[in-house]
Amino acid sequence: MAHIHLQVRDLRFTYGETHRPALDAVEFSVQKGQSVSIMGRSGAGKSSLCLSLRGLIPESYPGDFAGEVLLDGKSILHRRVRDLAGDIGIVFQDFESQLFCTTVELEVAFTPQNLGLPRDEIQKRVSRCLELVGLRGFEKRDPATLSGGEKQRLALAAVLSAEPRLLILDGVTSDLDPAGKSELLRVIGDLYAGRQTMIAATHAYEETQLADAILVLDEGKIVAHGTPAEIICRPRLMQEHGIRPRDINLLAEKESLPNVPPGGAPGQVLEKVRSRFNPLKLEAILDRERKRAERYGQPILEVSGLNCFADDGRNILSDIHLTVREREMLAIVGRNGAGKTTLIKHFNGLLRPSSGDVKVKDVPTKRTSLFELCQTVGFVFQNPDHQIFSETVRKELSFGPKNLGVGEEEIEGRVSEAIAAVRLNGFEEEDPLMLSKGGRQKVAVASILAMRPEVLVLDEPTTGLDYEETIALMELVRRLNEAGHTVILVTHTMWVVARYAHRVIVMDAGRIIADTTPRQLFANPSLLRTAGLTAPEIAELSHRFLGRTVLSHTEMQDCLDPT
Amino acid sequence: MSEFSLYVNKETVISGLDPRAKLVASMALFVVAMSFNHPLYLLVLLLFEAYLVVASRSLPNIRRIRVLLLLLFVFSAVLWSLFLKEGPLLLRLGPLRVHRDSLLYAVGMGMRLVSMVVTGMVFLSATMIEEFVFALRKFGLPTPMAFAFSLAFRMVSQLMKVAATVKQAQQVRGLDVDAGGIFRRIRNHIPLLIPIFVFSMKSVDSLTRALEARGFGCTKKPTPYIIVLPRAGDYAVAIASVCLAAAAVLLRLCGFGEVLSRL
Repeated sequence: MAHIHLQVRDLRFTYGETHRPALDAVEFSVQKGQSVSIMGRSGAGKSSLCLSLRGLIPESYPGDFAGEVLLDGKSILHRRVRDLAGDIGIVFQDFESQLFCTTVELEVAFTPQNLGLPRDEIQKRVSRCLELVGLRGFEKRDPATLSGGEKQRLALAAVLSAEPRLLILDGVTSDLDPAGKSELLRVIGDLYAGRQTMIAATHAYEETQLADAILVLDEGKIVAHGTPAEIICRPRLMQEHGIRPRDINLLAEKESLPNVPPGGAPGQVLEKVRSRFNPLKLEAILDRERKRAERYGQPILEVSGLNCFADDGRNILSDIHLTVREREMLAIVGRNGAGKTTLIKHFNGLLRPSSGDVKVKDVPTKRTSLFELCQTVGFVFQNPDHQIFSETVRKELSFGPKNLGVGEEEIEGRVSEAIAAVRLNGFEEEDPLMLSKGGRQKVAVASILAMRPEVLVLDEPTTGLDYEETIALMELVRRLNEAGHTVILVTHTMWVVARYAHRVIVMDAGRIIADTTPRQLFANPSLLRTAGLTAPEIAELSHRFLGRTVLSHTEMQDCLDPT
Repeated sequence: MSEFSLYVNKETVISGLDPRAKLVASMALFVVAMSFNHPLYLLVLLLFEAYLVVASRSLPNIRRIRVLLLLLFVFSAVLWSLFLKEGPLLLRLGPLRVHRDSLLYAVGMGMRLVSMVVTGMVFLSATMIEEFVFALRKFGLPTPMAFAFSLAFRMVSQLMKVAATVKQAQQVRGLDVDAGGIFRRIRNHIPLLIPIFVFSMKSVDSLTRALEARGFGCTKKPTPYIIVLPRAGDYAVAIASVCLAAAAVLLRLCGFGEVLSRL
């Protein structure tokens, strides 16, 4: 029998001031060199489990704790968190908060320094770990100057330099762009190959394929435990527990075909439905899209020759030309640092053009105040916590209209309307800060809606949300668009672009390199490569096997003739 | 970690000095600034500091705070010249009177403040925070205190970044923080302060968690990674700095460099 490395026995934890257990009778074991992925919706207990395995629960979090965590047969519970740094390493989702030093090299040296290792040993480890995560040559760089993906790889190197027996990754890819994510996943792949014992919490099935086992948590309990093949091939189980299933398996299940395990041949599913694929049905969908485009209204936003220079003279945006019409749903995509957020901040006057023009309803933003612009262009920031301050949802939503000088009675109406639009009925008197991240994001959207802007600009609204929360938010955005709002969305989530956007602007190094449709974007591998993007699996496979790009499994089903 | 880091990652004569020598030199320049209140003496000091700014390549950082420096100088010069009434009367503006010695003293005070801020900026531009911690530890400050000190620098700059975002997030909801009278303006800041406060609390929590998880405090004597061995030049700078400070104090005690016989 293989050596059991980590053993978790009847783990239970309830955070202080709550009644619902975050972890409920969790039991599993991991053998040396094995890796386990933990999946589940937001609030299922993934992070609580990671914190417990690292000893941070119960030491740093008050609450009711019971159970046992054994590493190589010894309980970790009587050891201080700091003393476990050489045995168990943890990388958190928020890479910003776990980097403290002014150079990359010092960051990686920090943990071994704290362990009191000899200096020459630390130097060897720094060099080895930077090599492993692909950051050799970055030693003297300030971590603040790195991209998101590089920062997260640095955070990983900073933990690996302690050479922990057990490595825990808590949602480490959640905040990264596709390019950053794939860089990090390559490094994690190397760790799998090197048989590093690992526990990785994630929302994305793509990240679990190399694991030896997957645990599915729901309401703090383990509801499924199996190999990646056993879990990923059960799309309904995944959906039931708030995890995004693999599109190809949803299609396979609907068509009564065998599911595709990780490492399997997904093309086989498409080969089997190829004879029933009816291009005329796809044409009908394309026709509907063309008709939808014909119904767009007047240009509401016009950008011409826009340049934006940083204080040091660097060009952040170069010669941007763009027209957005009423009722469009536009996605802006590209790597971190491509200039997406800088561009959208020009749409409502948060930034003024260094040169060139941005016009909202024919009026240049240079000649309009931010106060006037915010009544036409609503801007939802990425992190809802950057705006929420009121003690109730109702007060939070009335803040914008009140600033605009709207009368009390009308504010009431607008707030009710916004609450209904985001489906937060019943939460009016709740403290918005106590809602889930998805709930807080809805409050942020609703607080802008209450100002009744014609254009809604959303900056990475789905970052940190799980599958169900993402769907709920994007369905809300779709409804708003159908109700007449023009929507501009910055996002890294390609399946969101595929399902919801009408048009895509692809940015790279401060320039627009493509103004296209999601279908054309996902059929263009060289454009995707240039912009550091990845097509959703179903789009990529349909393009490869059927010669046509289909954007989702439901669209694929719509294109199939009956058997 | 912060995008507002002041450290200029460039090799210069000043950045190459031992952080202890830099700390001693900075303290000495503070003493010199405090020793004199005559604008001519402080002008000599400022010219020397201008050389240090160029030598340490910290001009971009000085530019970032140029408005602050200007405000410090103007406020100090105006307020001191109005509140003190020393020397012959130079100017009468209604009820306000400006006296010659008071004006010279006021200009001196403005120059003193500017000089001290510039000294601090040159030090932070030419010294990594880890080197600063190293110097503080070598001067006997316990490790956790020295580290907390350095963390404070980072937190301030991180807060500045978040404050800028929060301000934008509320501006797009129609908030004008500068609208209305003094009480209204104070009230206008509540929508900024609460999210910043919540963020700070969360940041401190995450930071503490991440520090513990990376073994901070595991041993009382963590291995020093940055080891700076003082060279002859560092000793020379430190000794020269101490001599300079002593000379400044002596000169002042002998009555040089003062407009008024107050600090």
